[in-house]
This record gives sequence, C-alpha cells and structure tokens, in this order.
Amino acid sequence: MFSKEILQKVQKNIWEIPKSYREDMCVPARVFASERMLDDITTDRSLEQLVNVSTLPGIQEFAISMPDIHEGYGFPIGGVAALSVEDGVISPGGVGYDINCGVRLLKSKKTVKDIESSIVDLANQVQRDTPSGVGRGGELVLSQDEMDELLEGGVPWIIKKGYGLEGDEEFLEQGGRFDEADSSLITDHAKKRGRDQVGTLGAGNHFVEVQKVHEVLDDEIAQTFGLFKDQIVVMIHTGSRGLGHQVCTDYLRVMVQAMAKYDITLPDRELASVPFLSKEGQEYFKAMNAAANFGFCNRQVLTHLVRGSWKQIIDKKEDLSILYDVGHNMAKRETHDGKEVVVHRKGATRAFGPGHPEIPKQYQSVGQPVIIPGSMGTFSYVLAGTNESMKQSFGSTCHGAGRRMSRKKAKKVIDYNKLKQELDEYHVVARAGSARGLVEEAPGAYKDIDDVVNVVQETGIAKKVVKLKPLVVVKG
Amino acid sequence: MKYEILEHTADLKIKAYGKSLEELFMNAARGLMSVMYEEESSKEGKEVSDVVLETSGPDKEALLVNWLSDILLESDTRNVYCFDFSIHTINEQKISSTMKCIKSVAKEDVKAITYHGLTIKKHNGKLEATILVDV
Repeated sequence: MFSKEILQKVQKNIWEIPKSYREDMCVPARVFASERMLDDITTDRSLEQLVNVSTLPGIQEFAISMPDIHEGYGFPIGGVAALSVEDGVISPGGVGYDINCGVRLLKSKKTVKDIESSIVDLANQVQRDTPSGVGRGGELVLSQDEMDELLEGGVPWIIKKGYGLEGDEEFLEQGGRFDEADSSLITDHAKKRGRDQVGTLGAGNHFVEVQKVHEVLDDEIAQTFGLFKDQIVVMIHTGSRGLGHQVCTDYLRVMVQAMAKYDITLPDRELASVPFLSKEGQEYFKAMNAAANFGFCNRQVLTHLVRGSWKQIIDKKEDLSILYDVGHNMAKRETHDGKEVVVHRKGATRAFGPGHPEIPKQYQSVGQPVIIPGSMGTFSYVLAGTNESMKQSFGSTCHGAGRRMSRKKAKKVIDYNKLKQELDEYHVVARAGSARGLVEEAPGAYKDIDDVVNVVQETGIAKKVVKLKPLVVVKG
Repeated sequence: MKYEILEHTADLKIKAYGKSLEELFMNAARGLMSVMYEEESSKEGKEVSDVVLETSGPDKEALLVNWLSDILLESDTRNVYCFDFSIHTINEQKISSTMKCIKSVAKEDVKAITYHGLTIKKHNGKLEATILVDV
C-alpha cells in the first residue's frame, strides 16, 4: 500500500513523489496515471519500487512510471530511468529477465472481407507453424558458431540465412542489430539454454495475433505508416527466451558480488548495479546487447514462419511487410538534452518523435511507430512517438495493458468455458497450448488498455494512430 | 509443511521451511520443481542422470538464489525434472550437492529466481525462506 496523499499533482495525469519522501532518493519520482488508476497502482508495491529506482547513483531528473505500471522485481514494470554514462550505474534489474522482449507488426494489403472465410484455417496454420508453449523448441537449432554469429550479426545475419526479405531490417529499431554486442561475454550455458529457441514464442503473455484495423484515429500518420481501415495486420509479441533470462541471471550474480567493491548499497538486491563504465558494467552492457540481437532474430524467424502461413492460406503471392519492431525491456545509450545517458526501460517503449535520426526515413515526418499490445481479446494500438516524450520521459511511453490480477487469482476467478464463450461472441478465434494458458491471460486479468493509452495521449508522450481488434490469437 | 506456493501479481512465490539450512534449501528446490512440473512425474522406466552442483555466493540469501538458478538452468536446458537432492556440505557461502534428473515436460516456464523480497528468517525455531520466481 502506498498513501495517495504523498502524490503531488504536477498537471492532469502526472503526479510527483517528492525527493523528501525518503532520505535515500537522489531525484523525485514522476507517475503518469489518471486519478482513477491511482487506486489500483497504490494497492501494491509498485510505487515503493519506483522510489527505490530513484536511489540509483547517477539517475537524471526523475524516476518515471508509465500508466501500465505494476509490481515487478527491482524496477516496477512500466519503469523508466536515465542514468548518466559518465558517473551513473547500469542495472540488469532495470532491463529485466526477458531482454528485448518486444512487439512487431506486419501489414497485409488485404481487408477483413478478403480473408473472412479463411480465418479458422489461418488460425490453425499459424498455430502449426509457430512453435509455442512451455519448453517448446523450434526447428532451427544453432551450432556454436552460428549462435555467436547471430548474437553479433542480429537480423541482417539471419536474413542472409534465408529468414526474411532484403530490406526488412530498415523497419526495425536499430536496424535489428545492436553493434555493441559481444557474444564472447555470454556464458556457454546461456547459449545452450537458447540453442533451439530462435523462432519460438514461449509461454506466458507472448502471442501471435491476426488483427484488423478497427478505427483510424489519425489519418495523416496512418497513411504514412501504410495503415487503413479494415486492413489485416499481424502482431508478434515475444523476447529473447531462455538465453536472455540466463544472461540476466548470470550478470546479477556478478553484480551482487561486485557492488561492495564499488561501495554501492541499494534498498533491493534486484536493483544490483555497477558503474556503467566499470569492467562489469561494460561486460553486462555488451552481453545484454547480444541477447537483444537474439530477441530481434526470434521475432524475425517468427515473421518468416507467419509469412509462410499467410502464403499457404491467404495469398501465395503476398509477402507481409513490416510496419516496425520495437523492444520494451532494454537499456540503451542515448543522448538527451546534450547529455549521454543509459535509458533503462523495463516494460516501457522507446517512442522517438518526428525528425529523430534513429527512426526510419519513411517515418521521419510523423515519429516512430509504437506498438501497444492489449490483453488477449481486447484492442491493441499503434501510436506514434512525439517530441513531447523527448522532453518529459526520455523518449519513452507505455508498453501494454499491465497486469492487475495474479496468474493464480485469474485461474481461480475466471471460468474457462465462459471465457471461451466471450471470445466467441467477440469473434476471436483463440488457439492456446492449454486452457490454463488462456485463462491466465484473460482480459479481466489486465488493466483497461484504453485507460492506459488515453493517459499517454493526453500527456502528449505518444499519439494514437490506429486501434486494432484481434481476430485470431495464438499463444503458448 | 515442506513448502507452499503463494500469489504475487506478476509472478509466483515459494515459501520453504526447514529445521536446518540444508533442509530449507532442499525444500526450496522441491518447491521450485513443483512450480515447473506436475507433481512427481512417473520415474519408472526412465533413464536417470546424476548431476553434481558446486555453488557459491556472498551470503546465505544469495547462495540460495544462485543454487536454485543452477537447478533451473539444468532443468530448463535439458528438459529434466530434478529430484533426490542431496547436500554434502553447506555453509553460508558455499554448497556442494548432487541431484537426480529424468526427462520430463514442464508445465510452467520459469524465467528466473529473483532477489525480490527474498528473506531467510527464523520463526518458532524453524527456518523460513521466501523466494519470488519470475514466470
């Protein structure tokens, strides 16, 4: 529980926890949320976790939380922190175990009418083609050398291997490859854990959805993004799988030991940090970037598989094109207000505004596409980055709906048959590895995505472009 | 009670009990396996492998996280259910142990063992550990 009285209103939908709240805070904390959402947010430990983030050495301006904030471990999920390169720290807890978990959106030229009669066949085909579920490996099993090449070469490398089309990389954050990656800094056991997992969805909240553009909310930007009403699109949500989890585990182990050497004490070990420029800090940063390349490649191989399903069922001549691919668990070296910082985004999305050199030239005039998955069976959104987000939140915005109910509670209170019936009524074809998987991710277990997106729109840290409705959900 | 599984918004918590550090660690490992696999999957006719684990850490809390992480790594990489934990030596910084493993299909994808809210406490003369796992 966090007392609402501590929160000071800065403006509509932005609240501040003053630096005086706790002695160890280095900067105040800023909370992006509507008044109504505060009731939910203050019931768990997420704001206390945000205060803990504000104690990290070298943190700039504010510890920030997005409206989809919920309790995590170390950082809250939906947390953003910019830490000075020169005298700040880097924290694996600010990235999370699922390094470069993210979302990609594929576009078709078809509308609902064109594919209506083939929806069920498409759902079945996508489920057959995309390996998902607990412990499920894929067809692509990498040799040791190939793994190292993938970790450093990212998407451009895997396209050369036949998984994708020339030019795909232009529409991915960072061109689908972080060049700071060093595969030699990832342990052999982490590589083994991910060896057969490129091109696999995994379990939990990861999914492939076939969706339609339900509503266009900004004509000009939608046109620039190549999106139109009733268009069929495909969303892929997954990350770096076991390899990423192990990289985080391995480096937390290193940092928990090394913190004493750098005289760093923190309120929560999950925030374990070392100076960014230290040996341990640089090694983690390079290993994390390599794991992020694995995440990009995972979504790239899944794209290749989904393109195959589309060709088989819908149109053998059409290659789905990529709108964009953006991660929501990363720490990136960026320049904000002339200062070099490492922006940690844990369950938050980079959302650069118009004119930023790091976004594809096709989107320069309108800002970077931001893809926001809703919960299963509810709306998702495409937003555009704004220059306001550069001023207010280190070029960051929300990442999704955010859980409000534990998995165990969801299993207790949500009835599988009723959920199936609701999905049917909503015309969503659901394909899940297990009934349990479906129930745990039911819409009722999540915050309302419309509330989350309204807050980012009203505060100006992203702009709504289109609203998407799911037609098919395939999950682990 | 050896262990119980508690709720957490995004994840799962294991609460383990033991009369000694050795028993506490073993019960935490059993709790982890109960999260990942159906209870005591049938072992008959399956090939059993022995695995030796040597783990260290700066204190008993970190040692528990590191040891459970080593078990998770073995289980997740080879798709094996781990049982018959046997601890040969243990102090607050080091543990030497063996376990048996059989091929099995997991029911839950555990990403990691976290430090979040981690405690090892003495209560009514017994040790209690709370560990949050990221699923």
